[in-house]
Amino acid sequence: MTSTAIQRTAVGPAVRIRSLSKSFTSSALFSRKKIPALRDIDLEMQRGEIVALVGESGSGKSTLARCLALLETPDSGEVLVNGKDIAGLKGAAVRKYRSEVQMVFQDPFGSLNPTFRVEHILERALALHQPEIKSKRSEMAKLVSTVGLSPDVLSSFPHELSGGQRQRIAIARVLAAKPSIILADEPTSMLDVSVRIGVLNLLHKLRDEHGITILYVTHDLASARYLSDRIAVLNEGRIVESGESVQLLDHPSHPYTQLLVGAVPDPDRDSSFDAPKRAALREQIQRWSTSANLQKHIIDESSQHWVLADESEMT
Amino acid sequence: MSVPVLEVQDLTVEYVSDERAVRGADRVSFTIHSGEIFGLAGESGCGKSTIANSIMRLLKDPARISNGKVLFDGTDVLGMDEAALRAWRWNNVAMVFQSAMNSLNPVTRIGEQFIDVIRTHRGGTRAAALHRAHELLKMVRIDPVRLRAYPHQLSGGQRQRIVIAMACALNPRLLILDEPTTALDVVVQQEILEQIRELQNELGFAILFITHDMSLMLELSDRIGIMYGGRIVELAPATTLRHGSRHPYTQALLGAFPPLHGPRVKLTGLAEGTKFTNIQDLEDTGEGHWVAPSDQPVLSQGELL
Repeated sequence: MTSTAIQRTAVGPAVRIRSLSKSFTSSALFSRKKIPALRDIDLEMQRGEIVALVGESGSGKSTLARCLALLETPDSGEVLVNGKDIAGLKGAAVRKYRSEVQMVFQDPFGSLNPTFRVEHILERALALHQPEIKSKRSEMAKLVSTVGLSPDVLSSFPHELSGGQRQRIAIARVLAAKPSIILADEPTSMLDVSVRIGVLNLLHKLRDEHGITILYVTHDLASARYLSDRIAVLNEGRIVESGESVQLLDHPSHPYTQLLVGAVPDPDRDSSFDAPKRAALREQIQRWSTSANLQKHIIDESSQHWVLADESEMT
Repeated sequence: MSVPVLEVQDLTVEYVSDERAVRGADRVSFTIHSGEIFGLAGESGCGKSTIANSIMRLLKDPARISNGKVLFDGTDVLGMDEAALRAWRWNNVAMVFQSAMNSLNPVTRIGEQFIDVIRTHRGGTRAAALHRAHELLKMVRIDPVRLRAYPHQLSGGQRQRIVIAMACALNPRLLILDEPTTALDVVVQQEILEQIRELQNELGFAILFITHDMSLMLELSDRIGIMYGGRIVELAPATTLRHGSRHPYTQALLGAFPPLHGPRVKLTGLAEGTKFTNIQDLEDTGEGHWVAPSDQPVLSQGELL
């Protein structure tokens, strides 16, 4: 363990999730069925770390982010944020928590009120989260320049801005709360491709300059590798593999991760599609996901790379 | 060279309102040869779908094709009357729309919808149409039993495959795919693309492939046109474009997709608010590589993260 890692554990992680489970009830006319969305999730995020949650739609990645944002109540398990249990927070404590943990949503078109100017949107956030600030004007100018926009945008309405600019305003509003943790749920998937990288770079900068811990939820493996320090792969509500981003994507060990990595379009790949191999992977995923004997196997100690594997198939 | 399947010359499309006209496509020219996959890439609003819709003659008011020609096998598409269009569409050129999986009729069985398409455009008996539907479903690896299913009983990927099979029903010479996989997960996306490649090998049609995902486009297409603001700014074979793009916008698009392998380098993409105005006509730089001259600086990338 390096010296910085020791220091980090001394302060304690920013987020510590222990055996978190959440299920939704689907009710048809005559039947009620519990559908597990998250199963026994363990996840730790150090301060200033960027962790990416990846998986296909329905794998539970947004649900996990929503549990952290207090938008869903987990069925069981424990979530500690900055050392404090978030279950049962009430009143002022909830408000304080919400300043601490902020969320950036996928759709910048829906998350900004179209009837107000940007200055009102930011002023409101400042008044709520940092009421002690006197000169709101200069604070707002500072916020928009942090996210890479000029102060002119303050007097614009959201519809006058491009998707990328709007997402930056949404991030500026998040910063107005002075959060220590940002939950970014697919923040770039609705943006035009050429400005996506700009928003990812902005998130990276926030971590570097303000030490903000970021949970980046995405289905895009390449952007997860680009932005995050560590990746956790979710499949059917379980974290099946986790580790340092580059190491994990270079040596995917779980069949589901292999499936995802193999499906990312890559112009340099010579043979793109191997049907029998694909079928074998799917079968293995199925076997592992129903196996009663799942164990965490360390693949590489130094990069914290582990996989949740069937005991009998790991050698 | 043989007569191209599709030839678009100087196509200009305007969206006309009381006060002003907006150019959705501006003097766009390209050709697609038999059996070729031609890609049109660009961001939302750049005119890719406008081009596709004008080739199919699907544009409605206030859009107006104000200039240019669309030639299919040498015949003028823009001059066709309604009857000729009906005979031409689907028999010669078929289109799969964005989120096409939602374009199936929810209250009719899949088989019925196949029969409808085949008999409307080519006639014949129900039995013959049903037989063809069987073949097509097998081609996209869906059990023909599913012809009795309703769309909601199938997954998104299956529905998308069915729509693609339907488009191939009458052996068109050209298939237009407008963002065929945008709403799908990566794994399903790859399977659909493989399916398209297989069908193309078997049936030999040409493809006009429209998407904003550059990595996808580079993997699938033979030649690529990059669109910006209604104009094509660069046109080149896929391999040339990947390693030797010349227009700063193309480079920004390519730079927007971080790689899955190799060292992590800082990418810049396109700076917020960068605009290209007054885009010139394409100039030939040799070997099928055409570039619109630009005075904007070429982007530099490659700083390690």
